[in-house]
Amino acid sequence: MSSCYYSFGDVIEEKEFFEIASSLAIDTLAACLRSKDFEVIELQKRITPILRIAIIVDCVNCMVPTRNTVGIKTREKLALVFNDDSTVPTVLALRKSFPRLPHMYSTPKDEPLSLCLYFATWEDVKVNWTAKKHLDQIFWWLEASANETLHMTDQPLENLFFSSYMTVVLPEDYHEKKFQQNQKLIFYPVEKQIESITIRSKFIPNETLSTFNQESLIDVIEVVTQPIVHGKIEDLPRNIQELFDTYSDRGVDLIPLITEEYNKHMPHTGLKKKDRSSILIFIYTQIIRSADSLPEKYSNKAFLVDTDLCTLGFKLHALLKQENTYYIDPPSLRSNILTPEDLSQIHIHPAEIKIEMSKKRAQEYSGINASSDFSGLLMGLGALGGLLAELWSKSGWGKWNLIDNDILNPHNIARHILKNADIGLSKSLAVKKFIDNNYSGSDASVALVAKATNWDDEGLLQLASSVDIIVDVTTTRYVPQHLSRKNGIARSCSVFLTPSGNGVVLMLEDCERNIRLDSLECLYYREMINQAWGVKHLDYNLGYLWTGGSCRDISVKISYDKIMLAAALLVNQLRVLRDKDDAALMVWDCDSDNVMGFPVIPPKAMCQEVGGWTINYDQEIHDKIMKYRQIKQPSETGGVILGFLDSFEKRIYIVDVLPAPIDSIESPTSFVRGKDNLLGVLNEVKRRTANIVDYLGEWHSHPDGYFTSPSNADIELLKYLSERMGEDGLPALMLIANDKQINFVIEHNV
Amino acid sequence: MHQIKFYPVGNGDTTQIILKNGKRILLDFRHLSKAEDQSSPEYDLKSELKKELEKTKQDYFDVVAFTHGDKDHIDKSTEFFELLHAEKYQGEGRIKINELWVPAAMILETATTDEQSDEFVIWRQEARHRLKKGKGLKVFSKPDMLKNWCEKNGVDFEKRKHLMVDAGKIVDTFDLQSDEIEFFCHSPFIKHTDEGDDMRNSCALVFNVRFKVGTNYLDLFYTGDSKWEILEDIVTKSIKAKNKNRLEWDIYALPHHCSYLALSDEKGDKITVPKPKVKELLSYGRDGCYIVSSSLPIKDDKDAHSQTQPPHVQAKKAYLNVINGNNGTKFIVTMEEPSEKQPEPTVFELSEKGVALKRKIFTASSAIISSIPPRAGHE
Repeated sequence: MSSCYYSFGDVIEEKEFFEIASSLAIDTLAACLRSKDFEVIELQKRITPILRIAIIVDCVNCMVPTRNTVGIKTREKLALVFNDDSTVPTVLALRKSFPRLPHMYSTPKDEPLSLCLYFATWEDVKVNWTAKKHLDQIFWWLEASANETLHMTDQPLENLFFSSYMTVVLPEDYHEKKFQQNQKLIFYPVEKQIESITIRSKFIPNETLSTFNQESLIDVIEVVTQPIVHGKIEDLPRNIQELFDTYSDRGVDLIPLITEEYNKHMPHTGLKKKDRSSILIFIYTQIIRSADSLPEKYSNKAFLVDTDLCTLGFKLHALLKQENTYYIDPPSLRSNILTPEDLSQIHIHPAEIKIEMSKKRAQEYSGINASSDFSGLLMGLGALGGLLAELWSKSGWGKWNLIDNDILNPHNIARHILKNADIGLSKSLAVKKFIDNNYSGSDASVALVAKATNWDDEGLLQLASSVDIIVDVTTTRYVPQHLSRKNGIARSCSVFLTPSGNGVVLMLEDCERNIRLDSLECLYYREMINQAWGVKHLDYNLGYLWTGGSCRDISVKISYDKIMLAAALLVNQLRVLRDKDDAALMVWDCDSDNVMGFPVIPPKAMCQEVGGWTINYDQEIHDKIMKYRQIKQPSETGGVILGFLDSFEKRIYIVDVLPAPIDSIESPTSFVRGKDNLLGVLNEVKRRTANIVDYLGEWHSHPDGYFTSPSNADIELLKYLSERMGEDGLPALMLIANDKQINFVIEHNV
Repeated sequence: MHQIKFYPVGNGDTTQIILKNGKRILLDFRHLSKAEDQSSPEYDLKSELKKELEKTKQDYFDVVAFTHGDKDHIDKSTEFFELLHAEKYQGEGRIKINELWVPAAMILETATTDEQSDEFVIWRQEARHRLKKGKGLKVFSKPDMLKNWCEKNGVDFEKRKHLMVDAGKIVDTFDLQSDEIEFFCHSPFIKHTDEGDDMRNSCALVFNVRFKVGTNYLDLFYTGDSKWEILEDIVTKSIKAKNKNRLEWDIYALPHHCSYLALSDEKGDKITVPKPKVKELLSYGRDGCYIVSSSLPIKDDKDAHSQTQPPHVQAKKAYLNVINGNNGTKFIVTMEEPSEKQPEPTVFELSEKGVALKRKIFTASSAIISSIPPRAGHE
C-alpha cells in the first residue's frame, strides 16, 4: 500500500515539530485537527536542500465527484509543506498516480506533484492568510480540478512548457521577411538583467554580414508540428534527447520534421562546419482544447542548441560527411538507428519566442477594437508610474528617485511610456533614461532596481527617510500597508486605477503622518460601501487579457488614454494637495461620458492595543456608534462591525459599523442583535469591496454611567463569537460603548 | 443535476430527492416543534420545505413515501400535508401529495382507543381512503391480510392491484429513461406482514433508488428502520433472484439512526460485528461511497458506549470500517453537518462525474450573521 505513495521525509514527534515549526505550520496543524476534512496522519521533516517540515494528511473532499474523469479521489494523501514564514506554504500530492494537471508547479520526475494554489504573490496572500483559508484553498483546488473548472472555460489554454528564463525577441516583420534571400537575421543578446536573458534580433542586408561577429549569425530551423491537445505543462528539456522525448510523449515526432527542414534549405553544394556556432530551433505548435476542437493558440518555443548545423544534421542522419563538407543524406541510404546517448550530449537552452510589438497587437492589448524643489520617491514604474514620472519630469515638478525591480516586456509597450528599443531593460533604469532625455542639463533622476517592500535594504530605508514625499504606484495592497507601519519615513501617497480602468484613487497622508495610508484605505472602503459610486467601482467590466505563462500574470484591458487620463488627474491633484498639510482621499469615476470626482475629508485616526492586537479605527466610527447609541437611549443597542485584518501583523482595521437590524431586541438592560437582511448586506459589502471587507464582530452600548468592561452576558457572547470565528482561525471582536468612550475586547480562540 | 437532501431532524428521517426535471420525492417527514425556536439546532423542516416549494412555485410533492408509521418518520406531517379523507386536513397553505407511498402494514395496523388521534391512524385513514378511490397511492406488498381487508371493506382487490408493488419489483411511477430514476422495492416481503408480529420496522419500505446520469448508474440504498434480519433476507432474496446489482450502493442511508440492531443482535463492547449477510451488503459500497446516519451527533466517550438508545458508537465504528475498506469517502451524521451547533441539510448532487456534496460557502462570519447571537448588555 505504502508504495502507492511518495514519502516526503522522516517522521518526527510532535515535540520536535513544535520546536522547529514556523507559526504558519503550527497554525495549520491546529486547523487540521479542528477540521473534519483533514485527517492528520503524521508529521515529517526533510533537511535537504533546506529544512522543511510537512503535515501529512488525508484530505477528505466531499465536493470531489466520485467518478470524475480527471482522476482526483475524494480522499487524497497530501503533504502540507512549510519552510519559514517568509515563503509560501506548498502542498504536495503524495499519491504516485495523482494526475499531472494545469495549475501545478514544475517538479522533477519521480517527485510528488506540487499544487499551484495561489494566483497572487505571497506578499499579497499573506496579509489575509489564515490556516483555515489555506485548507479551504486546497479543498477548492481539488474540487475545481476534479470538475475541470479550475481552468476557466474562457481562460486561454495552458502553454506546452513552463516559462524559460531566456527570451528570443524577433522583429515585428519576422514572418514576412524570414525567407528573403538578400538579408539575414542576426541575433544579439541584451545585457543580462535580473536573472533573465533576452536575445534581440534584426534583419541586416547580406552585404554587411561580414561586419558582424560570427557568433551572432545563429542558424535557425523552424518546425511546425501537428496540434497538441491542451493538458499538463511540461518541464523544460535540457538536451536534444529530452526535447524529442517530450514532444514524442505528446504525439509529435520531431526528427522527420527537422530532417525535412535540412532537405528543404540545405545548399546542394554542401556546408562546411562552423566552429563556435549554435542553432536556434523554433517549434510552432497549435494547442487545441480537445482532439476534435479547433486550434485556439500557439505554444511556440525556441531552443538554443549548443552545436552547429552540420553536427546536428550528421547526428540525425540528415547529413553525410565527405571530407570536411556535409551533404544531404539520401533517405534511401539511411539505415542507422540513432542512439539516445549521442543526442543527450547536445545541450539546449529553452527560450520564449516573443515578437516585437506591432501596431495591430498594441490595439488589441489596449482593448481598442478597429474602432518646485523637493525630492520624491516613486515606487512602481508600470504604465501609470512611468507616465507620472514623465509628466512630472516634463513640468519639472520635483526630483524623483525611481524604484522598480521589473524589466520591460514586449507587451508592456502598449501602455508604457518606454519604447521598443527598451525591451529587456530594467524599467527603473529605462524610465530614468527616458525622462532624463526630456531636458539636457536638468537634474537627473536616480534609479534603483529594487523591490519596494524590501525594507531590509538600508539604502531604501535611508532614501524613504530623506525624501519629502513617497508616491506608491505599485498597484499592490501590501506596499501602502508596509509604508503605513514605517515610522521616520516621508509623508506617503498611494495612487492606483481600479481593475476596470474607470476608477482612479488617490490617498495622501497628512504632513505629520497622523492619518496614514492604512486608515485611508479603511475610509476608502467605507465610502465604497455607503456611496453610489461604490456599486460598480471594483467591477471588471472589460474582461480579462492573459499574458505570459504563469497563473498570476494577469493583465486587464485598459487603454493608454485611460492611463493618461488617470495620470493627468493624479498629477494635477497631487500637485495641489501636496502644498496643503491635510490628509486626503480622492476617488474619480471616469466612465465613457464624464469624469466625476468624490473628495472625502479623512477623520482623525484612532487606535487601541488589545490582547496583542492593534485595532485601527477613526473618529467617524466612534461618532457613528455614539449617534446610534444616543437615538436608542435609554435602551441598549448594537450591531455588527465590518472590516478586515492582517493576521500576520496582528492588526484589525475597522471599516464600518452597522446599526441594529430591525428584529433586534433592545431594552434598558440588554440587547439581542437581530438578523433581518444582515446576510444580504454583508454579501453586498463583500461584493463591492472585492471580498476584502468582512464581518469582524459585534458592538453594543451600555447605559450612561455604566462601565464599558464586559458584563457576564457580554463574556458569554464573546465566548460564543470566538468559538465560531475560531473555526476560521479568526479572532472575535467586541466593542462596548457608554456615554463617554468605546472599549474593545478581543478573544482569539486558536 | 439530481439532488438528494438529508435533513437534520434529530434521531429521525426526512430525505428529499429533487430530480433534474423538477419532480420531488419526499421520503419520511419529521418536524420537531422545538426546531421553531431559533436557538435549537434542529432544522425547522416545515418552514424550510415551504420555502423550497415557494421558490419553484409548487404546492405539491410528486411522491411522499412513509417507510413506516413510527413517530420519528411522520411527526407533525398531518399538520403540513393536505389529506383527502377529511376536510379538516385541507385548506390554505397545506401541501398536496400527488402519490402517497406506504407499506401495506400501514393500512392494516390496528390502533387502541387512546391512539385514535395519533398521526399514524390519520395516515392509515388517508391511505385507506386513497385505496378505496383507487388513485394517488402505491401500497408496498400485497399480503393476504390486505386482501381480507379489501373484502371486508367492499373494495375490489383485483381492481386495486395496479396500486400494489411487490418486493423485487420496480415502481412504475418513474421511468429510468425519462426521469433518470427508478425505485426498486427490496422490502417488505409478504411474510413480513402476514407472519410477523411487528407491523412497523419489519414491514418498512426499503428501496434501491437508481439514478441514470449519462452513462453512469448511481445507487442510493434507502433502508428505513430495518433490522439486521430484514437486511439479511434482502441479501438472500436479491442474490437468489439474480438482483445482486440492486445491492450495490454509492450512498447508504443506514437504518434506524445508527442502531446496532441494523448490524447484529449484539452491540459489542467497542465495535458491532455485522452479521455475515449484512457485512456482504455493506461490502457492495462502490469507490468513493458515502454512509449517511440520520441521527443525533455520535459521541465516542464512556457514556456513549453504554447508551441504550441509538445512535450507537459501536455501530458507527463498524460503518467507518466499511468506508475505509471500500475506498469510501465519508461517514456523515446529519446532525453534525456542517457543525453540531448549526446543522444544515446534507445535499448530494448526482452528475455524470458521480456523487459529490453540494458546495457550501460556510464561513464563521456568515454563520454568526445569519443567526441570533446570545444577548449582550450591562446586566
